Amino acid sequence: MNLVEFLDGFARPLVAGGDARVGDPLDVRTVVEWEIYLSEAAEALMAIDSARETVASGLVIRPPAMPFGGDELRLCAALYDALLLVHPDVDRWLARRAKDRVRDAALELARLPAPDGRRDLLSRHTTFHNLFGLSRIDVRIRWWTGKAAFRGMRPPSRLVAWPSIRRVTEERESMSFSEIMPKEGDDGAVGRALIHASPLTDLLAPARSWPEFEWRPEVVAILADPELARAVAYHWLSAPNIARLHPPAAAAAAWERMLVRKKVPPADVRTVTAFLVHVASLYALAETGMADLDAPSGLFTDGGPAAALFLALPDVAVIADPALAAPPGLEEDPRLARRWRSHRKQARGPETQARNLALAEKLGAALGC
Amino acid sequence: MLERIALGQTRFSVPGVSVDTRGIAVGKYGALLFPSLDGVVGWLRLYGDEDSLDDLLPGMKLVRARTMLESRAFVLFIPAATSHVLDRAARCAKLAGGAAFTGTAKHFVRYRDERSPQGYDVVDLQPPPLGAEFLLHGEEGSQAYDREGELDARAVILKLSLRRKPGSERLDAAARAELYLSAAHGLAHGLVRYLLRSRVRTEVALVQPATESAFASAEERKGYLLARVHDLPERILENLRGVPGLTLFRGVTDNVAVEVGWAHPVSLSSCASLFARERFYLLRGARDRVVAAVDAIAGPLAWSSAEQLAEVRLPERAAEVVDATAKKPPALELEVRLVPTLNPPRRVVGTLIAPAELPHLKRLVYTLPPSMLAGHRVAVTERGALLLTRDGETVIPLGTVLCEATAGLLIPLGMDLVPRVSIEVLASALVRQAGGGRGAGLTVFPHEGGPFFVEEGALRTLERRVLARIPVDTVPIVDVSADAALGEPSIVNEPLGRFSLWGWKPRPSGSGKSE
Repeated sequence: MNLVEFLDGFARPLVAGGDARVGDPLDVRTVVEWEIYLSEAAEALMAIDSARETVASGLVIRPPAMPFGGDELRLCAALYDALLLVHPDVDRWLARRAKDRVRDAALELARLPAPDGRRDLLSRHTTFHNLFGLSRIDVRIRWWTGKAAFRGMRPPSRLVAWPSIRRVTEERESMSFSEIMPKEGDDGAVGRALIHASPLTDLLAPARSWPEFEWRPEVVAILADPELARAVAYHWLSAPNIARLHPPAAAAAAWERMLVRKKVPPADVRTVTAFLVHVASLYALAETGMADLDAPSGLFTDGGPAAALFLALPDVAVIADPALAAPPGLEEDPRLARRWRSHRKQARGPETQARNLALAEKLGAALGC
Repeated sequence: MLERIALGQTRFSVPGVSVDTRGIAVGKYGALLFPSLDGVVGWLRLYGDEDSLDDLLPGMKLVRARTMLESRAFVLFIPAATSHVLDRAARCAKLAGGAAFTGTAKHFVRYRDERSPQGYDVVDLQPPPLGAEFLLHGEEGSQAYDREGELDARAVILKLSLRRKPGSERLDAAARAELYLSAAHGLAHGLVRYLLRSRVRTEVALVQPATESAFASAEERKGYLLARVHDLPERILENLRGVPGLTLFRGVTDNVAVEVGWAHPVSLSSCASLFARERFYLLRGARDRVVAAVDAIAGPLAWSSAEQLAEVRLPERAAEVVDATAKKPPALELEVRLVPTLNPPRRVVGTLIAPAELPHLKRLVYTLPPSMLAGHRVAVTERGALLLTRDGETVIPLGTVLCEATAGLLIPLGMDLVPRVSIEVLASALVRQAGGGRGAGLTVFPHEGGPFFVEEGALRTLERRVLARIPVDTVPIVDVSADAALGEPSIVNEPLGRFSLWGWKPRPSGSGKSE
């Protein structure tokens, strides 16, 4: 496989959609050599850069120039090797020692320095924006004398021939990225390293099933950029109605874990708390079109414990530091202020008082109050 | 006799009862037993305060039941969509002095409580005795009931009297953002004048309640004026309160308003389906009648801006018109005229060029730079050419220089209008009397000849006005947008061979961990 084949067969479908083909493994030296010859593959890179620019323009008004470079190539190669580890033929043809080599190569490629500014954040995210949308079609074939499974591969035509005579049944199942990646041990570390390499991708999808979202310093640093923070908030709010509270609920659960983590800077805790309170006010803003602004909100009955934690977060923050109780300027909109008070009234109850006090104590300690 | 259900139990003696996803025994309906109608009302109030009654009302039945020993009770049947609904209903029923049961047809068993979290089943189930409509299986035993009659739960809610709510007369700024005022015919004009003078944004409608009562007075049948006021100041609210013939309402839903100081026992926002969308309802508290104090007004209401009711008159130009108006009683008539003023000059927005000066304008257009041409719009009328400029642009030094008294009203520079009434009222009255309709436009008040109105659509850019038409062909548009189509990626595994690691290059020395 050469560089152009890799870009056309894997990197472009990963960014712009289509069949991303996974075959022979990539070693680190080959990827380093390809970095030198990237400029010669301009034709293959044009479609990738165009798709990345489209993704970036959905997040910021003026996307910076971010041509597909060495870091992006390494990320794609790391993901390629990570997907190879779950290839159905790996256990058949590669020995354990050879498999370890592929895993080490993937880990080394995925370990990039922390992004330096908005350009790096967007550049990595636009490469990995489809990471949690990656899917694999697994096919199970049963016929009168046997059965076979094909993970991400097309079954041979001889197995599906004469379906009525041989009583062939075919089951198709779509597996998501979180489902196909190994989660334990060294193999699991590859998947986590890939997510950590792109903090913006990490922050935009906190509600995924694996790996669990955490407020790391690189993720918190994104909130310092108002335009990106706004893009993140709007992305969370654009979740389908049935899962509308999932992203902020997962972020609030991570916030609770952050409070008990050691050596977290108080400024980071303050930033995350203020951001989540701001997002809570956006949910109140979305309900200001209601006729009765004092009516009970369906938000408080839809979600589980994590959603309840997110909705109660302003009431926890007001105990620890009154400055964090509500976003500035909220009182200037009378309808929003009234809906916000209605939310607070609904969130406060005798059954939540003890929990809020305990959380406020942790928050106060984390803020250094 | 009841027995407790074990976790995982799926078969029950009571027909029509099954377990839901939480393992709780639930039938198709919940039956709430109350000894009196007060209990039913109490339950409606409690449940309506916590959750939406709209979900339950379509399937709700209120039955007046009688036991074999002739004791009476009320049974409220509600659809049991989930055990969450029944949990809440059972808790409210317990608070209101009732008991909750669940079942599907004739047999209803006690709903779960603290002693049996999964629910109850009946040991040795017997068929209902002859003449019994349904059986409620409680802890004390099974009780058969016969149906004596059925009440409409919706009618029960609507017939409830409003209750006085102490302290709710004081309204904060959010509550005063939108209020409704009903005024008897005699008070209508005075009220509108008072609100306009106080600069309160007001919309009005004449309404006729659909009364069916034979006891309604002639005044009630006549209808009244309904005003929707926005951001009513507290001072004015205090003045209006207690005036006979005026009643203040506060909206609870889009089409329901309740008298200020009163509240309906049941949260009306939770049972909005009781009120027809095409009507507007006013619920009055203080009414010395036994019938329900609800004014149902055919809707949707068409609101008109109260400002259009303000009477402002201009001096007429034609002599015969002056004679005709002289015979009218001299009630509320204001003469608006221009007077010189020493106030600081306003922003200059254009100029009015008399017809005699139009040839000068044509000659000037040839010598003007393109930037100045682009900044002007012009409308040529019988009274002259109205030439307007963009913000910050230089005005062509011809004719009478005009400045903006208020949005849409132009007066000569150095002049002012008297009397100084509300400029919005004045502007709207000028547009109406000048015959310009209600569309967007400009009213010009020159030194001589009275004001005239120019519609916004009549204003053209100066460049376009002075040039002849140039025929231009329409050509098809070709989409050249660079946005790439994005889709979902899918992993396709290529077959691996026995020698897939053939040619694998070892890691460059010094990078990463060593093998």
